[in-house]
Amino acid sequence: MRRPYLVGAGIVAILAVLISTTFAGAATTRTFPTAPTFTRRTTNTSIRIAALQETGKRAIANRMQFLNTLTSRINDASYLTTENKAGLLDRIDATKTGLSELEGTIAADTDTTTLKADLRKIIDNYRVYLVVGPVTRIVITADRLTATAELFERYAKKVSNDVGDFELNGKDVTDADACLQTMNDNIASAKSQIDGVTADVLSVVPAGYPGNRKTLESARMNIRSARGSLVKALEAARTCKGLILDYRAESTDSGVEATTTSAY
Amino acid sequence: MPKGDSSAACIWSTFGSIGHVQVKFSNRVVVIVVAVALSLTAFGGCGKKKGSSITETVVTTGVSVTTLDAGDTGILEDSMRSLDSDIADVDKQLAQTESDVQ
Repeated sequence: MRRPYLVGAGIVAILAVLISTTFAGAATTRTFPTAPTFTRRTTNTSIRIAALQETGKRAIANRMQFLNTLTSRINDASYLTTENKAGLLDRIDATKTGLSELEGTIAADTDTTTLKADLRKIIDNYRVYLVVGPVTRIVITADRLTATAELFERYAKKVSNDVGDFELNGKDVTDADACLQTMNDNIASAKSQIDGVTADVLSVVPAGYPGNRKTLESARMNIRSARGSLVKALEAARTCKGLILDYRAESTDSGVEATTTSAY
Repeated sequence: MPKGDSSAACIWSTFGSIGHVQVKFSNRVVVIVVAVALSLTAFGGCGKKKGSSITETVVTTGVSVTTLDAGDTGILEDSMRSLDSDIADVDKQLAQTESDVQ
């Protein structure tokens, strides 16, 4: 027969073992939550930095591609003046160099605050779409307009030569003189409206944006006005051509040989 | 004589330019070559006056500097169309914002 005190001692021993095991387990459980939380936070920050860097890389790549398109456009524009062509290409090269350096800086950034500030520079420091693009397009268009006005001037000179020839042959050239005058007036007007536009636009830099946007808008308005004048000059050119054809036909019918050598 | 004063030179030039090809073929080819050259003259290909080439005018100087040629008005119209295309590019560019294309 067992003694009751021995049974009690056994129970106490078992309880002691159970309690010590439980406390040891609890202690282990309490230390675990801290370590995994810290690791997750670090990982999230790294992922966020990598994602932001990727965003920056993509934004810069898009701008580089756009700048390359502009470069091709400049090189294709044979009517651009040498000075304007060089100025535009220099600006694009400088922008590309700056963006390349910024891409390196962004790739080396290790905290989100600095990284966000550097990402903002892609837009604020370079204004590829809001300044470089419009400036390039406007200068190209302004030079095209100037070259077109010069074509009109040459055309008007030829009309003037032909009209002079008919006048020498005793032809009444009042109508042709009038259309020639209209043509010359509108060419002069177009040239006046475009004068200075290129210089104004080339002074627009990213640092002055958005305050200098009105210079770009103003340039666009001048280009549109000049274009309107050339449209009127073209209408006059068509009228002049029709009149000269009529003069030639009348000269042939009357047997008078005109001194003009035009061939329509 | 057909219009212009360079027909003979043009025929000779046309004949000469393909003349060496006929060596490889029968004599009948010679007849054909001459016929082609004469046809060019008849259709005006060889009959144009010197200096009236529209293509040459466009490529070298646009509107030339003496008197009106055929195609001069067309050159102005082409130039205006190109100008309109450039203006459309300006409008498109100024309508864009940085956030449109990130």
